Amino acid sequence: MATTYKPRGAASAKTPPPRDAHKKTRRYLNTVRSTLDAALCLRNFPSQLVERHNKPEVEVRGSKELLLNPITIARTDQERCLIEGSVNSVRVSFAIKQADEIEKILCHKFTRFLAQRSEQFVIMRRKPCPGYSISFLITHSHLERMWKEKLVDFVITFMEEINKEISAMRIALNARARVVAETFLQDFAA
Amino acid sequence: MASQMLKLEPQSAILEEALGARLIDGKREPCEVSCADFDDALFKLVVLPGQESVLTLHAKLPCYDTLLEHGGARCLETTFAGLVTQPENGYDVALSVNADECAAPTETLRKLARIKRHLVGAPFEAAFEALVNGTARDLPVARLPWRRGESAYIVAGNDPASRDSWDRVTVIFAVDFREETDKAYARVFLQQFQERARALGGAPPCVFSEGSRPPREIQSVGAESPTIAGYVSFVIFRSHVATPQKLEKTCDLLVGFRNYVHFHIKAAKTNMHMRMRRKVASWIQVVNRAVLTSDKPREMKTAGGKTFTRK
Repeated sequence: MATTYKPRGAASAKTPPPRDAHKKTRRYLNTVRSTLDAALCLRNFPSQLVERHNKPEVEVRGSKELLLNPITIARTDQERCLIEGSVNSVRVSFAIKQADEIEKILCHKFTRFLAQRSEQFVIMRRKPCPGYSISFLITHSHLERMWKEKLVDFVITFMEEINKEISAMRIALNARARVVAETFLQDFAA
Repeated sequence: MASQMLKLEPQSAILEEALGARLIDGKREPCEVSCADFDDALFKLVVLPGQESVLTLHAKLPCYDTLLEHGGARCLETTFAGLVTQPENGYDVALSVNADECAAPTETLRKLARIKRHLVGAPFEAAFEALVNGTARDLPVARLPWRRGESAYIVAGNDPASRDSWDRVTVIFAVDFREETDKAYARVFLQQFQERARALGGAPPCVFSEGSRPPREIQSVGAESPTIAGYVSFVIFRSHVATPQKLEKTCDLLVGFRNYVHFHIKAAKTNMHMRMRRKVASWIQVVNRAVLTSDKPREMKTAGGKTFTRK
């Protein structure tokens, strides 16, 4: 049997997901997990510029030597993750897959819904980084109050579930529309 | 039953209750009830003190003038014969009935509560009657601009195979929503109408077309803006309107179509919102699990049994 070569990222929204899509997602998330684990090595670091200020360096970008190289992990060109590290904080941004108009809307609504509740989520950033759907900002003070492993766990479960939930909602919407149309049309025939 | 809850009724429940109390249960009290329907329709029931048996129902309907042109006037003469009076300022039509002298109260109640269905449905009824009588060829193309930026079109059509057999009436709805989100939902719903109509035998064929590509039939009367959510057309054959009951049912459905879609899009949005809330609540739990336990305030008990919170 001849194998055909397919360039990366060639799978469009129309083609069904490949059989090992699940495995690929797992690998993607595992990579994110270990990168995040390594990046979450933070310490208290008061501002060098303003006395008695202590700010996440990844946000203020006060001086170059406090920032680490940002890392992008991509599963497809739509689904990717940006991890920006610094001496006292890490910013993790995710781009969520949006295959069609409905998924785009659902994703937008979902992320907005989360951003509005960002206080309860502690590490959620109110505004995602440009080009991404959702961002988390983890500072050293979070790590002092929370288990690091469980925090990483949360980020990973969140990523897993938001994808699942968005596609489940899209399917539910279609199923609902089908029932609604059927109920209406049946009456003509009755 | 679940499938019963999916449908909307063609009558106004508020009017039915207020009128029913007076026509059937014999309540005699002055009142002034105003209510609105989904689609710019306004109703006002007035009973003046001193003449409590005279019920006057004022109604304001969308595109009333066009409705009159396409069968509404005839509907007033036949269905509402002897009831029509002068409407108040701001209303299009008024019907008045004396509860003491009403010969068939149940029948009158039904008619009055379904005033919107009768008047808005008049053009549909006229077209379908023409279809049954074989005079569909002479039907003018009707365009009812019943909502802002949305119209319903009624077009008689012939069999593509034989030019002389005018055996169908195409009812086309231009459907639009102000928000992009609602438009996207509407497209999903309307596409399903097309697909289900194909699968269900006996249902009128249904075609969905994008707003940028209006159906050919309506080009002579002018389409809506190309940015609308889309057009959906139902092709009604003689078999769908063959008996008076079927004709009545078909009209009920078509008059209620827009509200039906609207209602279900709202319901779908509510459902999504509930799902998201539930999901978010479960994620908050996962985050809370990460908080160090010793950091949380703990409730302690003294030897004497008093409780206090240790922070």
